[in-house]
Parts: sequence; C-alpha cells; structure tokens
Amino acid sequence: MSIEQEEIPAGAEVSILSKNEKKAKKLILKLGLKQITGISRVTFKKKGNFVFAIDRPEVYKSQGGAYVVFGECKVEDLNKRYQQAAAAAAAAEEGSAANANATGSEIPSKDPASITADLEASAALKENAKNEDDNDDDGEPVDETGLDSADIDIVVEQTNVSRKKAVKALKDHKGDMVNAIMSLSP
Amino acid sequence: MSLSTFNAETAENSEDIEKQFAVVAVEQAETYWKLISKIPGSRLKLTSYDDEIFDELIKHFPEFEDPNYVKVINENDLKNNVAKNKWRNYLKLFEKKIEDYNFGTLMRISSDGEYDQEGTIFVLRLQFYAIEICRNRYGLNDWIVKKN
Repeated sequence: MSIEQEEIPAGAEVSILSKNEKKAKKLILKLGLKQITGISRVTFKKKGNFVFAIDRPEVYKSQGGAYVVFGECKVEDLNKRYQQAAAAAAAAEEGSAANANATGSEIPSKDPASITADLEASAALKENAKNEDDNDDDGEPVDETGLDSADIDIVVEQTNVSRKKAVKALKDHKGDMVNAIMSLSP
Repeated sequence: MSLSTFNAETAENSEDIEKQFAVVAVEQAETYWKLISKIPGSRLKLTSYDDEIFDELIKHFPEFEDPNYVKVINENDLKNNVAKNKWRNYLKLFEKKIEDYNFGTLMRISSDGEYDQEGTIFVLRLQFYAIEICRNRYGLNDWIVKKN
C-alpha cells in the first residue's frame, strides 16, 4: 500500500515492496476483523469502465460493515484494452511479467496514504483500549458520574462486557444506549 | 487513472459508501429491536436527554400527547414542508446533545409492527428517539417483550 500504486499505469511492470503490504496487513488484522470465506473475486467499478479486479482475495469484514480486501489487484480498463494489449506485448518483449502486487481496499476513491493513516490511527486506538482492559481487574472504582446505573446494567447485560467497558461506551456515546451497545457488539 | 486525480467537486456518490449508511441503519434497528425485546420499553432510557426530548416534543408538537397519534405515524405528517420547518427548530435544540442526531434511521410506522419492508420508514435519528420515547412511555412497545 504505497503511494507509487496510484501512478501505476494499466499493465505496467511494477511490484511494490511486500514489506509495506505485510505491515498494513498486520495493522489491519489487529482491528478484530472477521474473515469471510468463499469469495472468488472482488471488483471495484470506477467511472468510465475502469475496473479494479482482485482474484481469489482474502476478505475481512469490520464491525462497521466495511470490507478489507487483500490480494493481487489488477486494473482492467475496458476502454483501453487495445492499448493494454499493446503494452503487454511490449512488456513481454522485455521478458518480464506485468503484474502489480497491491493491497485493495473498500474505498477506491480514497488516497491510499490516508487509508494507511486511518488504519494506523485506529490500530493505535485499539491498542489504547487494550491497555485499559488490562487494568480491568485492579479494583479501581469506575467513574460513573452522569450515568444511570440501570443503563449501565442494561449495556452489560446486552453485551456481556465488563462494567468498566460499558461505562466507557456509554460515555463515548453521550449516554446513547443503542449506539453504546452497537459499539460493543461483535 | 491515477487516484490522485480524485476531485471532490465532480465526484459522484459512491454506491458502496451509500450502502454503508444502510448497513449502519439496519444494525441500529436490529440493536434497538433486541433491546425492546428484552426490556419493556416503559422501563427503558435511550439517551441522557429522554425527558428533555419528550417535553420539547410535546411543546413543539402537542399532537404527540395522544398515544393513538404516536402509535401509527403518518409519514406525510413528518415530511411535509410545514412539518419539516417545525422539526428543524426542534432538531436545533439537540444538535449538540444527541449523538448522530441527524443520521438516517429506520423507524416502524406502527408500534404494533416489527421492522419489515412495508412497516418501516426512514427518519432522522432524533425523530426516531422522540417518537420511540413517546411509544415507550405510553407502554406501546411493551408487547414485544411479552411476545418472546
């Protein structure tokens, strides 16, 4: 997931360092995503007959319903198919394969760099949340100011999380019960 | 083809992004339904401002005092131009207080119904709260717990 990716013309011979891909993958997997099996191909349709196609992808679904897709991303452009064929022929002459390894993501129009930034930010958040979890059992009283104890009970009951987590979720969502439960549900 | 040519002015709505809103709306509806299936609505609190939401609603829209009016909502009553203006004033009171107050949210037309294709309309989150708080207070949602 490198910035160079956006400049790759269809059929160009570029392979992005797998180091970046590994790094991104590691970050993404920290977010508690669920793997979805049985998907044979993912395509992103863009304006003007451009298609990003990922064959045999690894697909993960996030809690919010976003999908993260790993795999070899190929750019297919129905308009420029002939040019592509010509480019492929030229590339073949040079004796090289013309594949680009890339990590695709759900939001095609978003700049890859900012996606990486987002992912890093949420990974950091997750990390923080984990650290707080670790303190769960230290018997420290939880500040429930401004919250209704019955509300906290309901959230705990509905989501089976610790009271501390329930309090935090309710606070994060300004006491909004449904949003708090949603944020805690798998 | 470069992604850096993305221009916010000319970009079209991405269908995928729009679907994301639908996903969130459905999750919200499912979560709420689960909640009122387990806990009688009359004992439920949805936000930290339930009392205010209710009191202001009655002040702005006295017709909501009548449980029968709240029971079956007429979509036109919410969405005609006069009503929209009145709702706008009401929404303003809570825009800082209620999270996602203007998010599109699924609501059951009748408190006697479930979330199904015919019986569900799209409203703003605050409208959903206002009406569901009324329904809960009038005990109109309590049947859902007993059903299970």
